[in-house]
Amino acid sequence: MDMRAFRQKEFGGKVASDLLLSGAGSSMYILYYSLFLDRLNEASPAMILSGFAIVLIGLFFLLSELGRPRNFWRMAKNWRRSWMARGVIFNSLYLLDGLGIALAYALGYEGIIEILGALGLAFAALVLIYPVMLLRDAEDIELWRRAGSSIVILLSALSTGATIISALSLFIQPSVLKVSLEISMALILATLLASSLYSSSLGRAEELEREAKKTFNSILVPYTISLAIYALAIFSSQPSLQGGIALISSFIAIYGSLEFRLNLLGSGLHPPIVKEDLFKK
Amino acid sequence: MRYAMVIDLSKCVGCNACAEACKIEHGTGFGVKYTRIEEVELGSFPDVKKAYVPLQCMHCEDPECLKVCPTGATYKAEGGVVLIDQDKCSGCKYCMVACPYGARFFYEDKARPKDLPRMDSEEGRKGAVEKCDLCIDRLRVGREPACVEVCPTRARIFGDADDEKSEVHELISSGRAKALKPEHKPSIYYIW
Repeated sequence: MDMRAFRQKEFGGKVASDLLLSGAGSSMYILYYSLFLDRLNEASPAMILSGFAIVLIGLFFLLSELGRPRNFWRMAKNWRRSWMARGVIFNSLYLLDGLGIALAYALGYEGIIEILGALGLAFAALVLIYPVMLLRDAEDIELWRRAGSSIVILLSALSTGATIISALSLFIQPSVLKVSLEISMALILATLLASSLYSSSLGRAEELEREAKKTFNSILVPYTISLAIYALAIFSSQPSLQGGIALISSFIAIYGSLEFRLNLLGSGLHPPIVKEDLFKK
Repeated sequence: MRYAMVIDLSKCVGCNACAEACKIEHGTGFGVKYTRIEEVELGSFPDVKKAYVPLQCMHCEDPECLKVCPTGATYKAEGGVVLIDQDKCSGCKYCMVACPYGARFFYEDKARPKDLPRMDSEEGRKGAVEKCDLCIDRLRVGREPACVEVCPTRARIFGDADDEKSEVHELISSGRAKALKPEHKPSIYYIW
């Protein structure tokens, strides 16, 4: 450690998976719901509920990190100060909303579906933003507080959500396959652009800059492959081929997003504790 | 009242007596040192010096760990001592990530031996974060922290920074004692 920056090692794979799935699940809900905003009766209940299911899977990763389920509820107490506490509340509200929608679908209450659906949009937006704020709250780790990190986290979450929609639509609702492919491609392109622009603005002189560059570059290869495959899918005329390609591309995009989050957490550098100026008379 | 400690690095010989006294006082597990000694090399060959820098929880005035704690387990006690309520800690490790000094440790369920002293809450201790508590139990009965008491070279000076007659107040207010990462307003200062 001495006079060098030191790395956080506490947040690892499980936290990265939770951050990925909560972002992807909430994005799925926002994107899919927005597609059917004016014709909710045409929306597929399975597609709507899958956005909640993915966030729930993410929470299992968080629970396995915490060891005991009751620790999850205990974490909501300090919501005035801590973004982790707020995250627990946002996730709980979002999942309760999902449970309500599932019940309303089962009982056939369309009016309630509309109300809970609109509420779900607000909760999903909070779940989407919470990982960004959680990382920004660790004020000593500069990389996590940078605008570039926040933008790429959000865009990669949205693009991962879109790719999952396109993959699921193959099995659940083929009619949205084409539009979801177009949205996925646009969001992947936006993530690629944001990541590469930010990466190219970084130097190589300092350790922090090198780590940041490595982190942002890690998303470029999988996302470029994913984008190329999506382009193939869009130009293909056969829906079954489009769906198959979307499925493969979705996996690659999920891998890219997870890799980016793992690298972002792994390159969480604190500035050196002991600096030269301490020893100047 | 604000407890503060000044560590004179020119007196520290890196003997680790403070780290060991702390381990005995708190009964910490293997590999866990609330106080640790970092070796720092200064200058370049042939004019090289080595300094020993004891590091621990800095009991910051506005602690990052307290701000991010989702359960409110981290709190400030009398004299500005930052403590952890083991029963409230959920073991999320967010405070460890946020701490600018790397001063916090996490106990897995089975890491702590069962027959050590100060095991006031076995259930709460499992999967919880721990750190230097400035020997608050000793302070409450008018004693100094174990690391201060045991230091053979008297490199550690402890007292009330708000008391104008105290040595720590003089050292801090005169600017002789410097803080590491002063933006976090720590209560541990260093003299070189």
